Amino acid sequence: DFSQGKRDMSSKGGAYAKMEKINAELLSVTYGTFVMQLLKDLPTLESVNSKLEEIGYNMGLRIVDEFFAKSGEGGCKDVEDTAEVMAKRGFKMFMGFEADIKDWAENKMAFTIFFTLNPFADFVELPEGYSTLHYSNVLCGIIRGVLKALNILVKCKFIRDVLKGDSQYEIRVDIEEILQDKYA
Amino acid sequence: VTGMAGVRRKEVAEGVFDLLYIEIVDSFLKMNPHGPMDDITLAKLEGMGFSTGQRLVERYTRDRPRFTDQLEVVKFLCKEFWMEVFKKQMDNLRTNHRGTYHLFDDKFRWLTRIANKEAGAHYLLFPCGLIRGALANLGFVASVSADITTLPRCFFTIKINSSQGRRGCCSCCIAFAAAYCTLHPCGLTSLPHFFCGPPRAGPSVLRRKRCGGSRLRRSTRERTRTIRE
Repeated sequence: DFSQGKRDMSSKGGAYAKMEKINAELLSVTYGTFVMQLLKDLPTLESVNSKLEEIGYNMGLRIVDEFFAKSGEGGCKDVEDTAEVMAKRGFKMFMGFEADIKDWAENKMAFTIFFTLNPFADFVELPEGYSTLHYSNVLCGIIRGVLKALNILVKCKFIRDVLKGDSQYEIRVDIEEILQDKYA
Repeated sequence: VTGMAGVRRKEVAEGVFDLLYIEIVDSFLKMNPHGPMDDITLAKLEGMGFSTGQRLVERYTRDRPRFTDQLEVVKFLCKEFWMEVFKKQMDNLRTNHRGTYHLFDDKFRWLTRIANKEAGAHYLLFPCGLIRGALANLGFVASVSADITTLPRCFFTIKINSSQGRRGCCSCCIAFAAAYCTLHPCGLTSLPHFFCGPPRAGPSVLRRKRCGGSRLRRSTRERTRTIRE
């Protein structure tokens, strides 16, 4: 159902409240030990970034199904709508907080998603020499996977990172292609 | 969720962790796509659980008075620790009062999405490490292994050998450890202790029949046979 006008973003009956939840510290610490293992096993920081992104991508592809099953959301009418739903409803449902969208490109083929909380990076301090590590790159992968499942091919990259001293996290999403359903 | 002593813990949706965990195990499985996980990969995954268990138990015991005995520690793992991590307690605990404990979880969270026992074994490596790490931080060197009875029911076997002191277990494991593992800063080896243990009869997916160490090649073949049983 593609209704006209701005989507009503008020929390519909608290979708997050209905989700089965776990201790966020378990997520933080487990993710942390995984990143540390990758840092030992992989030759460069860039390869660690790629691996984290790949992990996130696989997660994102599957999380979409759970989102639609549990949120009661219908289809999104365009890319802007999709981005808003992902940031506000999607993040809220799975992470417990809303993200936000800004800085749309003129042609609507790029945007920035930003947020201040990030359970993946809790208890983490990046030591010297790790400025090229994107510790939370799993989130870039999740976003890429989610959008891929919705036929939107993107590239994501962190442009601001709280672990590197910024005030919030910002991921720049560049849309490469919007695939059309063959059986539209 | 309200944890122990009424402390409110931050939460995320279960699905996020479940998917991350599946991907982590899969990425280790893919390291050897044509066969079972090799010992080094197993050690890494278990080791990750070990680190996680150490860190989590540190947070959850900060305001507690010291434990006075082994049984109290294991009970803590079964109740408070398991509650913090899995939002439920262990369903049953058995012990011979000589350092061996069986901890039963009738509906182990990370097995609920698994269809077959053989695959399930790999999802129990991390929780074995979790228990072993938690025990280590509470002062006990232990070996921890896991068995699936019928999915999603499993039990963990803890062996705390008080005569071993704080250093490693048997000498061939130390040799193996020297080759592949690093010495943990607290002085305990980070060797996964399920590599050694007395030979035992019965179907088991994670049990080793012999030590690793210098007989690594043979034990890998044995273990391959064990996993395929």
